[in-house]
This record gives sequence, C-alpha cells and structure tokens, in this order.
Amino acid sequence: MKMAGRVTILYLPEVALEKIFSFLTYDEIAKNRVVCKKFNEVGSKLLSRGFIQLEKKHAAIYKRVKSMLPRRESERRLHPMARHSDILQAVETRISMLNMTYMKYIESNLLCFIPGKVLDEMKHVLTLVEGDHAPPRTHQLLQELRDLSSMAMEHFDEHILPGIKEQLNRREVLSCSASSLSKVPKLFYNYSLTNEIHKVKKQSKTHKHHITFLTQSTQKLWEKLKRQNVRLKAQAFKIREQERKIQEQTTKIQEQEGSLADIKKHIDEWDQKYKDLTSDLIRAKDDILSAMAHSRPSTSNALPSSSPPKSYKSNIRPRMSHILPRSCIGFQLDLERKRKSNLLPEIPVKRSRDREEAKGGELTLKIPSFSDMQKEAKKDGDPPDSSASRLRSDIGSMISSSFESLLRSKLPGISTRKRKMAEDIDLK
Amino acid sequence: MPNIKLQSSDGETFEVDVEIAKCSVTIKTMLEDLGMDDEEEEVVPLPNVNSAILRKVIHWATYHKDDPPPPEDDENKEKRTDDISSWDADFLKVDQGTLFELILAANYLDIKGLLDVTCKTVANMIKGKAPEEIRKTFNIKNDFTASEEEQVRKENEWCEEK
Repeated sequence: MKMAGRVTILYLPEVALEKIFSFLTYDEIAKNRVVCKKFNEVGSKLLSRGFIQLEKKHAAIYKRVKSMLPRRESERRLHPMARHSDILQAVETRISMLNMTYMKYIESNLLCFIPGKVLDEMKHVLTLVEGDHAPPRTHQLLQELRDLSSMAMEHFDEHILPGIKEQLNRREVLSCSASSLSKVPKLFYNYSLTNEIHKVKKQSKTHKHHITFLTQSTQKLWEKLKRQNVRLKAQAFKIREQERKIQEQTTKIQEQEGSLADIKKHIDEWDQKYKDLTSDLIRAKDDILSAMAHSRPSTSNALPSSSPPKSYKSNIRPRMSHILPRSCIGFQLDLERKRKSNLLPEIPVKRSRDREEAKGGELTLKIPSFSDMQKEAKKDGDPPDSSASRLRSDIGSMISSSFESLLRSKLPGISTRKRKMAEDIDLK
Repeated sequence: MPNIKLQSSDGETFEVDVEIAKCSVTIKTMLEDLGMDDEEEEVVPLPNVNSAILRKVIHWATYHKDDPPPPEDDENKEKRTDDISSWDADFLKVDQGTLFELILAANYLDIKGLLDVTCKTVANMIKGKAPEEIRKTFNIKNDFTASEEEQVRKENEWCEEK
C-alpha cells in the first residue's frame, strides 16, 4: 500500500482518466463530477463531447435512413424504415432543443452538458435504431428520452440559468475592470462591491439617457413657447389695428350720419321752398284762369257745347304714362335736381323756359302768346262760322292743354290734385 | 526469434522477444523508424517505466502475444467492463499504485489491450459507488469549495426522483 500513496488516480494523465471514464455511463460520469475538481473537469469535458458526438452520430444515421426512404411521402409511410425515420425525427427535435438550451453556455465554458442520463438514453435509442431492424413503437421508445430531456431543461431554466447569468455579468465586469490576471482573485473577494458598482454605473447611464432626453424635450417646448409668443404678439398687434380701423369707421359713419342729417335738413328746407313755390304757382294759375274767365264770355257762347273732351283726353294720356311709373326715390331725386337748377333763377325765367321745354317737347304744342291769340281771334272773325268755331275750340283746348302740360311737368307731386282742379275748372 | 533489450528507469535490462515487444505501439514504431538491426543488440531505454512495472508489462504481453490485434476504438461500440478475462483479473489483483502505474506504462508504451483492461478495472472500482465512497476508495481529497460543490450538486439535481 506504500505505492498507493505515491501514485493515486489523480496522478494519471487526463487521457487515462478519460479512458477510464469512457467505460462508465454518462450518468455515472455526471454524478461523479462532484468527487473532486479533476473528476469534474474530465467528466464535464466528456459530457459535452458526448453530446456533440451523439449529435453527429444522429445526423449520420438520419442521413443514411433518409437516403433509403422513397421520395414520395405516401410511399414513405409504407416503407419498412418509416419507423426509423420517425424516431430519428423525434430525436432530432430533442437534440435541437437541448442544443438551444445548453450549447451557448457550453461554448462559453460556463458549464458542461449537465444531463448525462439524457445522453445515455439518446445513445440507447440511436443504437437501437441503428442496429435493430424492427425498433419498438416510437412512443414507447421515446417516452423516457422525452421525459428526461424535458426534466433536464426545465431544471436548467429554473435553477441553473439565473446563476449562469450572474456569472456572465461577473465575467463582463471582470473583463472590463481587470486586465491582468493577478487582480482577478482580489476582485472575486470584492465581487459584491463590483457588482454594486456595475449596477450603479448602469443606473447612472440610464439616468444620463433620461436627462438628455428630458433636456431635449424641454428645449423643444421652449422653442414652441417662443414661437407661440411671437404669434400672440402679432395677433395682438393685428387686433389693435382692427380696433383702430373700427374706430375710424365709426367716426366716418358718424360724419356721414351728420352729413346725412344735413342733407335731410336741406331737403326739408327745399321742400318748404317748393311748397311755397307751388302755392305761388297755384296763385299765378288762378290769376291766369280768372283772366281767361274774363275773356271767355265773348267766345264761350259762340263755342259749341261739344267742346271736344276727346281730343283733350287724348292730349293728356301720353303725359300720364310718362309720369306714373316713377319710383318715389327717383322721383324725389328728380325733384331735387330740378330744384337745384331752379334755385337761382327767378320764377319768370323758369316759366319761360318751361314753356320752351313744353314747345320743344313731346307734345309739339304751340302755345301762342295772348297777343297772338287775340290776333288770331280777330282773324278768325273773317272766315266762315264753321271754321271760326273750330278754331275757337282749338284755341280753347290748346290753352287748357298748355296749362296742363305746365302743371304736369313741373308739379308732378300734386299733379293729380292739380289736374282735378283743372278739370273742375274746365267743367265750369 | 530476435530479442530486444529494454531498460527500465532504474537501470534494469529486460531481454524480450521482438514480437512481444512490438505489442507496444511505441516500441514498434521506434523499431520500424530506426530500422531493425539483428547484429547489434541495442538497448531501448524506457525512462518512464520502473523495473517492477516493466516486468509486469512484459508478463502481460507474453501471455497475450498471440491475441488478435485489438479492434480500433469505436465510439459507437457499447463499452463493457464485465468482459475481463479471469487471467487478466488475477493479473490485476494488485494495489492501486501498481494498477495506476500499469495504466501509465500502458499509456506510454501504447499497449491498447493492457490500457483497456486496466482502465476497465478502475472503472469497475468506480461503478456503483457514491461520490463519497469513490473519494474513500481512491483516497481523493474533496478540493471543491463549498459553493463550487453546491453548484455541481445543483446541476445534477434534475434527475433526482421526488
């Protein structure tokens, strides 16, 4: 037993240990990892290698089996190797799941392929598929593999992954804070501290991000506010402008109202003047009529009673049509214009002008002066009675119509009354 | 049959048949590379093997000289540990130190048959034992820290029946 003290199993080279372990199942290798560091080291290596080897083996077998199957799927189901293919497909799913779970961490040397038992089971299945020509039913064969792999992966996700992640973080901290290996052990003692520092760093980083973001947004808001202020100012200015304009407008309106009132006043005055004028005119007419009445008695007896009202009426009609359709305003304006034109001149001038107008107007009436009429009357005395009587009636109608025309053209506002008066006079 | 002289690390010389010596791939390759010379009885030095072990190795090789060459290692082949012949089993009834030295020698001399059988023997010593028993059997000190051991234990928890 002296020799045992000299050479122990740990003294063996790794290849020898691997050789020894290769006679054990993966499950045993996995369980014996806990014996010592060397066992762990060698066992881990064997487990990870075992998984990769089984992956390759599976791929090779699957490829071989596939090459034996017909291309058509319908025919494939009837093929004697169909079940092999099914099993291999199921194993492939399992392998890829296990791969996704463990391989990333195996590659970064954080752990080994932990579930040795899964490897044993997979190996068993593959051996069966490879060797046996009629493997048992897919479900029965794969149940154990499914159970074991699911158990392993669940356990990994729940219990091992958190620790692994912590380890990863630690590694990152170490790699960035310690370049030389001599610092590593010290840092391991200060692990919690470095972890804390790491956390704080992270936090400050995120805070920095937040702050920059917030400052940016505040700047944006400031700019917006400024723009709004400028706009507000502009609008206030506009409003003032508008108010000023409105005031101007109101003053203008007032001015205009004043001027309108003035105009009204003027109109009233003119109305008054006009009324005076009309009364003057009526008086003048009355005078004329009375003068006519004096001259009439000599002629009225000789004149036949059938003094033609028809011709009289026919003379009036066109004037009626001329007067009636006028609107009130147009009428007033007309009046105003006429008044203005008549403001300066004296009445006699106006009268003569009116007469001229009437002569040159639409009626083409020749109103002879009284002297002419008297001359004509004297002349009329010479020709025969019939012609003289006709002449007389003509003259009468002429005179009355000339009055009428005077009245109508100059005093349309009271024309109806005037006409009635004239008719009354005529009837008399 | 030509002989060859093998010298152990402690200076002892063993004269063996070349054919027997050739079950060591290391010696075989060496002889082939250097060229066989029957006249000169050259001594092959084996500095990694002591006389006691070299004697045992020669003993084993002599017994197995007529064996067919061992098959190439095949990963797909089922590894068995219960196929050790009774002679081998008797031969390997030695203390652990000798056994491990035999493994070292077999590894160095590249004698596959001997390496296989010795390793199988060790594997059989490991099989069916709990980690603590294994530590006791091989006089191994648990050099894990508490947290490391806990980590490995945790990793293996997954298949424990509840």
